[in-house]
Amino acid sequence: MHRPASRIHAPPSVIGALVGVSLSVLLPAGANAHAVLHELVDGEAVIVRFSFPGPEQPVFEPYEVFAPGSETPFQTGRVNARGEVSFRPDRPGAWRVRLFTADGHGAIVELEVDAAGTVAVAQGGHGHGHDYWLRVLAALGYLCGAFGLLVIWRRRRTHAGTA
Amino acid sequence: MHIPDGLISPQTYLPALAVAVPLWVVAGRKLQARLGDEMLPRLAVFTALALLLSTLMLPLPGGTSGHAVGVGLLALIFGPWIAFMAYSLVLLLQAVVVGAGGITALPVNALAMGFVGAWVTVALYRSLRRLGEAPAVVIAVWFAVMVSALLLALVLGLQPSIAQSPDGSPRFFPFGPAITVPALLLPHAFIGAGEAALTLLVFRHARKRRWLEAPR
Repeated sequence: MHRPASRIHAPPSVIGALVGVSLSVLLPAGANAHAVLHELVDGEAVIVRFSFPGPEQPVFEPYEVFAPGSETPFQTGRVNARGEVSFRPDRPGAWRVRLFTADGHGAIVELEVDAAGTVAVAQGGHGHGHDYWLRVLAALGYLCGAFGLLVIWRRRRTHAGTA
Repeated sequence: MHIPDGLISPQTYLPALAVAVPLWVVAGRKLQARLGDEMLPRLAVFTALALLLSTLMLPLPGGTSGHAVGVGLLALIFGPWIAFMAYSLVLLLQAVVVGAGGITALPVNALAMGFVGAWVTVALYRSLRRLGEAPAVVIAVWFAVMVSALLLALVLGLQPSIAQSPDGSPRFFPFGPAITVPALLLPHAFIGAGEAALTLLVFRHARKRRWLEAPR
């Protein structure tokens, strides 16, 4: 006796749901909204630490990072509790980091990033607080030198006038 | 309170330069006319003192720090024009050697702190002298520090509305006057008080030694 092959009979609503789920997997990634996924990425970042001449550093102050040749920020945010900015350059070239404080202090640091993503040359800004007083001493030296030159100039002019 | 490079727009520092250059010429002529063998070393010492005062960072309430200006003492001893000239040299050295302030911001800093600071100090001191020397010096120096701080706060606070990127974001300093004015005035109320007391001490010593060169 021939027995007919068994068939699964599903109601139309279940079939519709299955088709919908299948189509949603095929949709572009942008349409898969509302889920924020994350992964841990192993890599190196550029870290710039800002400080004031004294023991303090700018804390939670806003900064902007600009990619080479771009006027639109690549990254914005606030420095961390140690006065640091960290970012991962995605191309070689001259990167800029700008920091502002509400009371009008600020710094612009230019970083030359090579193809390996490491900082080759840093320009702008000024070294860490360690050499601040050396620079102040140098400024005092230049100041004394400028006034010394003024004294010599005056004496020569006086001598030329009396000769 | 020096503004560094990159925080203010060319629309701000170019007009400031146009104002500052003729004032520097006038101040240079006044300095040349009054230079003397005794005055020159004194001016060097007091300019060096102003440089030190304006680089010495003082911790302030709130975890921040600030520094004195130092132009009030120069103005009381040598007069406003010579104080302006000497303080401009201080600002130039700070920008080039120390790394405080900036070259493009030099005219703005020199006008706000050097010129306005010196003239406010001298004008207030002369008008308040009848109250006695001590209150006149203290009020004049404190008020001059506050006026300079207010001017710089307004210059900074105007930047977001003066210079913007095509998308409307600030190209230079991002904070408006509602933030910059209290951020500069509150710390400088303390700094100005300390500077006023120090100025009074040194001014009294200078007067006893007959070092005062400013027209009375």
